[in-house]
Amino acid sequence: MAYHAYSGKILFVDLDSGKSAREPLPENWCVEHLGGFGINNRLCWELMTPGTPPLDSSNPVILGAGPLVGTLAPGASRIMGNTRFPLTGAVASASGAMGLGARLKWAGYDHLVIRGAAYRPSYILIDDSEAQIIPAEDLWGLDIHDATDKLWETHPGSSVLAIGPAGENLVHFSLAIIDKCATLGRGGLGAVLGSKKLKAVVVRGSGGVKVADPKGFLRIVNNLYRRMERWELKDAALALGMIGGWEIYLNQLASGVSEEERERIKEAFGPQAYLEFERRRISCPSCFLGDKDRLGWDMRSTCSTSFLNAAILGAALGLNNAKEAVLLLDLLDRLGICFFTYLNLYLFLLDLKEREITDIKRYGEFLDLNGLKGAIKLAKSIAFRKGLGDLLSLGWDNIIDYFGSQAEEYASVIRGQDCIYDPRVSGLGTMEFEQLVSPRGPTSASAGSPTYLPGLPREKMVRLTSRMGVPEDALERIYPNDQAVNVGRLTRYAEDWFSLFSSLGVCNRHQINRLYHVDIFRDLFHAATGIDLTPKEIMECAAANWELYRRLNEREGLGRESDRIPSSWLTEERISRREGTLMDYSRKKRLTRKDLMQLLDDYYDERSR
Amino acid sequence: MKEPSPEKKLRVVEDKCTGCLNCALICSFSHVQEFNPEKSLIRIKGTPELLSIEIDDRCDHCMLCAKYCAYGALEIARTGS
Repeated sequence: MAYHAYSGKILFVDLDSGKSAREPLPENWCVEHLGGFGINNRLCWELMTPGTPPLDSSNPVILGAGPLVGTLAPGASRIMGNTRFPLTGAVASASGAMGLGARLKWAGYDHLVIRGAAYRPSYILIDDSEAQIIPAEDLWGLDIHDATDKLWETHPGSSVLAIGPAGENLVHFSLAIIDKCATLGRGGLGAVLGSKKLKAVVVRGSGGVKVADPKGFLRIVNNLYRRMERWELKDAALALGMIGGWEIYLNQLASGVSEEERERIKEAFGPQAYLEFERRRISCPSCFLGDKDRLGWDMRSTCSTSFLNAAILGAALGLNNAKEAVLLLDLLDRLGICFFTYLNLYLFLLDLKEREITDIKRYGEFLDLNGLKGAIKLAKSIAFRKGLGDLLSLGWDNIIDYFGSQAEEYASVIRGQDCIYDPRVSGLGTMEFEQLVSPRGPTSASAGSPTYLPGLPREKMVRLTSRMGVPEDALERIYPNDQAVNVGRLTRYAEDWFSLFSSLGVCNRHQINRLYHVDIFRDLFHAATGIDLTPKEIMECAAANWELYRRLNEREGLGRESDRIPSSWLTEERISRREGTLMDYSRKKRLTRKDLMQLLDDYYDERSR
Repeated sequence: MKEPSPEKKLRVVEDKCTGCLNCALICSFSHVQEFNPEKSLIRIKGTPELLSIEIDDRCDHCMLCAKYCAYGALEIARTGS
């Protein structure tokens, strides 16, 4: 078979021996798994030994870019990173972007498998067909931005995935950052790379991606651009990027606060503040959105994962203004600490301290939880594992063991990873519910669906769900009547939809997701690869990829029995500065533990079909 | 390759470039039927913080790059305008 859209090769780099090898991408895997997420899972299945400790050199890191990556398909820039993560123990798949996936493809590879550990700090350089392991003692200890800048000086035109001090010091919720803007690997990818003494992966490629039917492919891409042009919120999305959806976030950030504080949050961290800091929007390859930012203030500027992340930090921690929030996010990005977990840890400690729940006074010098100075100190103590930071760096299970069962009530944690969405505030849509069942533990992206927009009429919900390739009979079960939405059942298809995006290599942010339809994906995949699957078959591949993901984790003893409902979801007490009552996604019906258990049964019933 | 159009000129506003590479992807696709920024007649250079746009002398001003630029970094200017 002539590979179209695929590069047709997997690059294996062995850090133990310093050697690399190229293997052909099995043709049947392209048909069975599509690419990206799916083939990464298959590689995990084939290469990983169950029970491998996450920070052992035998734990591989697998990066993969789907067949649409490196083309002009809107949003096709995703790189998927699989490994066994230290925070949860899950064999999980993380999703990132910027230029790494496209450059891997242009260098001639669909997947990169990194095994073993270097005996000294090193980085991998992939420059077209050349793959080298290069000493990196001069980079070790640098923050992610400084290390990336140095690598760009040496290797212009490359994409750089790098870790910071948190990864080097094996912090269990450290991550890697691509091109200073895109995170990869919440849950400890940074630590896994750090355990391999691997500071960075640098990729440059001068090849290209050819598709099977160029005219047909371009026709579909042009239709997608026309859809984007017709979108009524396009101008706001282009002008404001991620902060364009500010009102939705504001409701989360200002839960239970006074009207006065809500106004302060709006003014300090909202669109007006963003425009003061924005210097340049930054896009991933082939994406119109520009969801990353170059931010500037005084005489400084920095690349940022997004001003929105800074706004979330600033509002939740009660920082004084956007400048403080941008400074804190910049520090976390440079250190390579997941800002979600940092934020949740900070608020957890605040709850313990304010309620005098446990004796945390012994760490008093590290516990200034009031303002930027203390927040910076806490971040550094985690990254460099000093005092309380050393305890925190090992993750939630360790923290809860230490502080005791009373403290556990204040930790919204599932499978060892903290929740991103609090359903007491936003209602229980698929994104909130999926936190219970995701093999990886709570993530931000893997279960988008129409429940994101409460109040839609049933007819529109059904239409939007149909575009996700959901079969007719399942629609009857998901929407049994005019009022009800079975979020448990819908979540199965939201995951499959995410699996499809991630296997093909397309970002599923809602601004991108809304452009696509299963029929469009079918046509695009066919025009790109020449592989002729029906929409039903392509969704069956996506579902099988997710099923394999589940089985990978069942093999590690992380199956359904690991699902856990956090007690914080079932209380009205103010926790992590948020409060509310657990409601369904439309916020009309109160939910109980029994309701959640039933939804879990429904989810697994739907998954088994 | 076509002759450059005498009526149209490409106006470049580097500050608006987000680095999405859509211009380079459509350019190479149009000229050599592959998505390959290295074979594009428009080059985006630098890092996300500081990007520059270079246009090859062989550019025939087909303006496809401007059509795919969502942020107005590339605009079609009529000569004399």
